[in-house]
Amino acid sequence: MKNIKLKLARVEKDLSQDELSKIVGVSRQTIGLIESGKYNPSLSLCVGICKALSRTLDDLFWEED
Amino acid sequence: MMNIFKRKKMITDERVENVRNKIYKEMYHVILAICLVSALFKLYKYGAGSGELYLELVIIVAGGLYYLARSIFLGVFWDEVEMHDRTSKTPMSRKTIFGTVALALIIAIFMGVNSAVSYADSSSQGIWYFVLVSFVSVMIYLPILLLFFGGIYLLAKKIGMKNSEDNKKL
Repeated sequence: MKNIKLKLARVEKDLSQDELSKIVGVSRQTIGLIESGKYNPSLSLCVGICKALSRTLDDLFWEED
Repeated sequence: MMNIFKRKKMITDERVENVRNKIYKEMYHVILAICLVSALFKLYKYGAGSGELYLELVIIVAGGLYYLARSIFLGVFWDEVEMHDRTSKTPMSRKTIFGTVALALIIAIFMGVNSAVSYADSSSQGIWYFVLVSFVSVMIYLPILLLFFGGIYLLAKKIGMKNSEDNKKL
């Protein structure tokens, strides 16, 4: 499932996938795959992304039914 | 000045690492397949017992033993046993014993048939050879195999228990 929340938060911060990936310390493709829902990130990577975007895990990774 | 000696923390991308591990896993299968093909080729060309197969056997057996030892000492072996026992009616301990006995019997029957076919002159002698060699084989192989597989099981259990004790302290 696509992670639209992550994409929106990134765009709100005015960051490209490439810029976010550099802050978090992963490859650009990894960010792209997380946003498109094709990669399941570990908790530590989720936390890293949340910190980079000044959001909480709930904001970005909790799926409401 | 100190910065020269401080190694910069390597940035690793977990996804890249996961994919790389997957490739390593596949690579191992490729190596095993090549080994198998090579062994079959040598078996066909030189026949069994020529001693040409040692390298292939070492590669296959050493790889297996390395995996076994690592999985025992990292506690993964016992994790799998616990998960197996959660769902299975027959616990792994019993399966280990049954499997070992079955393996010893298979080896014994194979040895018995081999000596009966190879060395006996009459059918009554063949049966006698079969019984004798099978019995002695069981006597030899059953304790050795039980010690080996039982030892693996108990060692894995000990390490697994130790790991969970450590976790309780935290």
